[in-house]
Amino acid sequence: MQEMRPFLDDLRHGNIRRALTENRVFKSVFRTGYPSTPRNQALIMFNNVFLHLHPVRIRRESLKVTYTFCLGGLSFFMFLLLTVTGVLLMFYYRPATAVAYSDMKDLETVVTFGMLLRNMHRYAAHAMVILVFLHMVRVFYTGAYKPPREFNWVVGVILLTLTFLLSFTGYLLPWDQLAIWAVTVGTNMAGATPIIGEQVKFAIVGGYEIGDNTLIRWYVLHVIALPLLTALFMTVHFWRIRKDGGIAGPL
Amino acid sequence: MATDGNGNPLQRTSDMEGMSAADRARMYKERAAAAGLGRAPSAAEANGGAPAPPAARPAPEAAAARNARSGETARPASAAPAGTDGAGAGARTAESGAGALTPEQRQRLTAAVQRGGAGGAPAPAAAGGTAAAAASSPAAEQQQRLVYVWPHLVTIEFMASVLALLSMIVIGLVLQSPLEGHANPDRTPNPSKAPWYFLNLQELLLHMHPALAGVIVPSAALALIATIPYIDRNTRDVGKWFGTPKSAPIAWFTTWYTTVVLIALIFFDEWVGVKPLMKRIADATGITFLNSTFMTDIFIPTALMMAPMFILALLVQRIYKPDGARDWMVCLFTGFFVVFIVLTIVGTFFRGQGMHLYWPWDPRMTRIE
Ligand code: HEM
Repeated sequence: MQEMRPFLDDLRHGNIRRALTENRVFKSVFRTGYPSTPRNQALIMFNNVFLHLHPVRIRRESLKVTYTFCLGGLSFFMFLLLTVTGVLLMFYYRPATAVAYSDMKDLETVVTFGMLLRNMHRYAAHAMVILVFLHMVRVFYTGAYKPPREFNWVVGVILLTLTFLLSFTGYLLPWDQLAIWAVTVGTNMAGATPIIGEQVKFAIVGGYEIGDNTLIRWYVLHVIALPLLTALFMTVHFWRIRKDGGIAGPL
Repeated sequence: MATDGNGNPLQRTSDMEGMSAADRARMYKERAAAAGLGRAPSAAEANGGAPAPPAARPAPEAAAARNARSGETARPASAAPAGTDGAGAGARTAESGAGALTPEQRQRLTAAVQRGGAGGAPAPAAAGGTAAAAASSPAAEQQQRLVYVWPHLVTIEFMASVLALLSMIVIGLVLQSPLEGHANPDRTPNPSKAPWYFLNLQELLLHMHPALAGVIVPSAALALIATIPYIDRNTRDVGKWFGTPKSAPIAWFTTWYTTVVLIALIFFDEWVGVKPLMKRIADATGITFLNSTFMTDIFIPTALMMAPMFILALLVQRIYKPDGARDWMVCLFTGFFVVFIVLTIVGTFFRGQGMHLYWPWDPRMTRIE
């Protein structure tokens, strides 16, 4: 009880802010004080695992919004939003041809906020394709791919490919006419690969006709394999931005 | 950050024992300045040069040679000045409030506040350089150009995230995702289209062999894009929109040229058609090879893709006389970008039933099953 004294005193005197922040529980979570001094501004970057992605200080020009247009960051944001909405969708969606379509209908009509969830997931996916592409365009026209950032540009090209694949594998899942015919067009194109075309098509269709096997394959790719791969390459991408000295600026 | 561990001139050393905090801070600052900390990350390191070993600091000649070896990527050598506000205040605050920190944390804090933490690897150490010699004025400028990530960048990121989230919620409330009838493999919709970002490839598919349109052209495009930084290595124009004086005009010219040529080619194939034309020629001349799949689906489409690129290169060479790889890359990448956009737009808004060209408002744009 003795130890609670300062806390209770603060409460009694209406000093709520201090009561809430100057106690051992709060301090166990937020070790440093409010980042309003250079010391705390640096410490918060060390001590917070999410902020640790960033350096403590960066060049002033890197802040200019008309330089990056935040496109890389927004691509990442869309990835996070897609992960959250995607996990929620997984609670309602079953990847089998007998039920997939009716699960989609249920999402739209029965599930609370189901339609909003589906809409957000779908439009965030479109947005991510656009943003990643525009991010590449911005990196190109600002010459930000040049040494020492060559490899990060290559990682970016891989991320662009993965973004297309993520989006395309998701396209099949609603199991409506739009879905299977778009995928028919796509798998036929892949089937035209020289020499190994037939094998490639068999592997991605899971047989000779688009059906249950295709659905489960594309589902697993869409919710597990490709997101993990993308996260892996994003990790390398962000790490490399740090290692290459932050984002490129004029010399 | 690679500054941790070996090679960090900001390591607490034995001769610091018994010194006052202020004296230690001064010592750190001197060593940081001597080691060239505070400058932008060294290209030498990024190119694979090893960080300096802890005890044996390379002679100035060695450091200079290293910069020279990294060639065009080397940034002007600059060092942290001993007495800029940021560094001094940082060191003081780091020391005065250091009670709660482990020695390792304290040392990293000192390093980060002085150096700005913008870089990856430690700068190569310049041997015995005095603080005064190292404090060149470009370095002071550089020091002042650094800002704290908290709050400056964190605020921007936060606002961008909130705006993005809000827009996605609004879009999700206003626009409803399509859900058509249950999948039915026996009822082919007309037209059957891929998602919009693949309609560029589907457009190519109308004009050439599927192996070319669906696999070879996109793979080649991605591979070419990936090699851009290995061809264009000149860092002079990094970090500026367009960079070289000629790149914006070249991009502009390429945009118009590509749009016009591409649309002309699409109309040609729609109205005249490579296949009907070759069939007529083959019939007239009796050379059936001219009408073979190889000719109509592979050779002629490839030629029709390559020839405009050569002509573009010739025109750009004649008109703009590009200075080096960057200008050429701008020409090439702009060409790719415009092709991607134009084909996507044509595929999305102008291809209707039978994948024929229609105006977007034509009734034949609607899908039938
Ligand atoms: C999932 C996709 C991607 C994500 C989440 C992502 C994220 C980011 C972020 C957050 C940055 C920091 C600067 C900025 O926001 O512009 C960045 C920089 C960079 N990105 Fe990406 N990126 C992606 C795809 C790509 C692609 C497709 C390319 C190129 C082909 C690319 C190449 C680069 C390069 C070279 C940099 C360094 C730019 C500089 O130094 O100014 N990235 N990326």
